[in-house]
Amino acid sequence: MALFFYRILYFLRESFKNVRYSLFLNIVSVFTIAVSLVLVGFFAFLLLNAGRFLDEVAQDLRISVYLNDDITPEQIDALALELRRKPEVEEIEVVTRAEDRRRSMALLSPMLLEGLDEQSIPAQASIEIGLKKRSLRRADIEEVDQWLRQITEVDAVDDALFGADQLRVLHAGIDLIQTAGLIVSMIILLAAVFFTFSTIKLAVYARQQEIEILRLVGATHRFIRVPFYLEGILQGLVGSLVALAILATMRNQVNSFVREVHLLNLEFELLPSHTLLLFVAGGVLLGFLGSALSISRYLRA
Amino acid sequence: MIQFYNVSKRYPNGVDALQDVTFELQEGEFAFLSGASGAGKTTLIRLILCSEKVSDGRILVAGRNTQLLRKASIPYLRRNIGVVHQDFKLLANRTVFDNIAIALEIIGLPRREIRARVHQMLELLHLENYPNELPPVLSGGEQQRVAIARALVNEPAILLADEPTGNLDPELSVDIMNLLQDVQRKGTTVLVATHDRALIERYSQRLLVLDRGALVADEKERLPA
Ligand SMILES: Nc1ncnc2c1ncn2[C@@H]1O[C@H](COP(=O)(O)OP(=O)(O)O)[C@@H](O)[C@H]1O
Ligand SMILES: [Mg+2]
Repeated sequence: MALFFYRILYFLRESFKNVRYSLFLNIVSVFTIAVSLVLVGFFAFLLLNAGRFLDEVAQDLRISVYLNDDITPEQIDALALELRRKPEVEEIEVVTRAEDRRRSMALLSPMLLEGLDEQSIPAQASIEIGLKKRSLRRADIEEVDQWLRQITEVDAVDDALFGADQLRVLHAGIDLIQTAGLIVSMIILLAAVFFTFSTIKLAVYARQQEIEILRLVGATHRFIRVPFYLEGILQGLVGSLVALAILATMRNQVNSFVREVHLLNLEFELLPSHTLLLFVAGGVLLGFLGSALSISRYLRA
Repeated sequence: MIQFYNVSKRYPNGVDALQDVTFELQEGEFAFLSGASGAGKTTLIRLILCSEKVSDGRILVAGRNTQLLRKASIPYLRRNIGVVHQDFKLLANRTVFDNIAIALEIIGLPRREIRARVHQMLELLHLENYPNELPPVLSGGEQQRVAIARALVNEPAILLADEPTGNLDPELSVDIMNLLQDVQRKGTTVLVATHDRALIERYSQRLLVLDRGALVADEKERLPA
C-alpha cells in the first residue's frame, strides 16, 4: 500500500519533471494537439452554426405584402385570413395606412412635422408576415414563393417582397458548407490524429535513449510507461484548453464581423456545452493514445 | 553467482564477439576481465544483463538460467546487478541527484530514504558539490563517478564495471578501486572489465583474459607487481 502510494507520487512528480526536462518537445506536442483540435473544432463550429445561421435569418425574415390604396377592410380581412392559414406562417400583422403614416412620422423630427398636413405624408397599407422559425427549408421557400406570386395576382395587392433568390443562394451556400464541411472535417480529423501521433512518436523517439537507460537499471515496463501516459494526458488536456481558447477568440471575431460588417444581430455558439467536455476528452484521448502507441514500440523488444 | 558455460555470442552482422567462454564467479568474489579493445568485454557484460541474447551455451546469474527468464522478470534481475557502463548511460536531462536516485525510485523507496542514500553516495564519490548539475556539463571523470554511484546506491548483489577508471586520473582511479574492493568485502560479487594492464598489475585479484572473443587465461592467484 505504501509502495503504491510512493509510486503514484513518483509518477506524478516524474511526469511534471519530464514536461520541464523536455519542455520543447512537450510544447510541440501540445501545439500539435491544439492545432489539430482547432481545425476539427472550427469545422464542427461551421457545421453546427450553418443551420443556426439559417434559423436566425429566418427569424428576422418578414415578408411585406403591400396593398393598393383602394383596398377595403373586408378585402384586408379576407387576405389576412388566407395568409394566416398557410402552414409556413407564424404570425401576421396588418399595417393600415394610418399605422404606416404614424410609423413614418415617428421617424421624422417634430420640427419637420410642424405645419405639415398629415395626409400629405405618403403611406401604404401592408400585411407583414412572420415565417415560422424552422420552416425555411428549400421546399418551403419554393412553396412560399409560389403562394406569394398568387397573392400578387389579386387586384388589391400591389407587390410582395420576399427575396426568394437570396434565400436560394443562402441555401445552396449552406448546403455546400455542410457537405464539404463534413467531408473536410473527416479528413481533418484523420489528419489531426495522424499529425498528433507522428509528433508524439518523434518526441518519444527523441527519448528512446532515456527509455533504454531506464530499462538497463531495472525499471519495469509499467514504470517507464506510466509517466509517458500521464504526460500524454497532460498534453491533451492543455492542448484542448488552448484549442478552446483559440476557438473562442475566433468565435468572437466572427460574431463581431457578422454584426459590424453584415449588420446582422447574430450570436454564434462556440460549441454546445455538452460537446465542450467531449472536446477536452478528445484531446486527452489523442494525447494518451499518441503516447501509449509510441512508447509501446520501444518496450516490445 | 555468475556462471558461463560454453557461451558464444554472434551479432546479427556476423561478428563473433564471444566464443565458447566458460567460467564461474563465486558469490562475493572479485575478478578483473581484461583484453584488448574489441575482445568482447562489453558483450560479456551485456549478456549477463540480458541486454543481448546468448547465441550458444548457458549463462546462470544467481543460479537462474538467463535464457529461461520471462521478459517481465528481466527488470527484477537487473535490480540486483549494479552496472557502470562504458559510456555511463546517464540521463542527460536529469540532475546528478536524480540520475542516482532512479535506481531507488524504480524499487519504490520512500522519498526521504532515497534522499538519505543518494546523499551518502554523493559524499562517497566526492560529488557532493554537484547534485543539481546535468551530466553533460560534468567532466568525463565526474560522469563516471555518477555512474558508479548509481550502480552502488541500491547495494546490488553483483557489480559489473565496464572500464570504470577509463576516464579517471590515476589518483582517483586508486580511490575507485579501493571503493570497489570495499564493496566486495561487504559481500558483493564484483567484475571489473578493463584493458588497462597497468591497473590490473597493481592488484592481486583473479584475472580473466579475453582475446578476440575467447577466454585465454583465468589466473586465480596473482602476485601484485
Ligand atoms: N551491437 C553490436 N553489433 C555488432 N557487433 C558488435 C556489437 N557490439 C560489439 N560488436 C563487436 O563485437 C566485438 C566485441 O566488442 P565489445 O564487446 O564491445 O568489446 P570490448 O568491450 O572488449 O572492447 C567487436 O568486434 C565489436 O565490433
Ligand atoms: Mg567495451
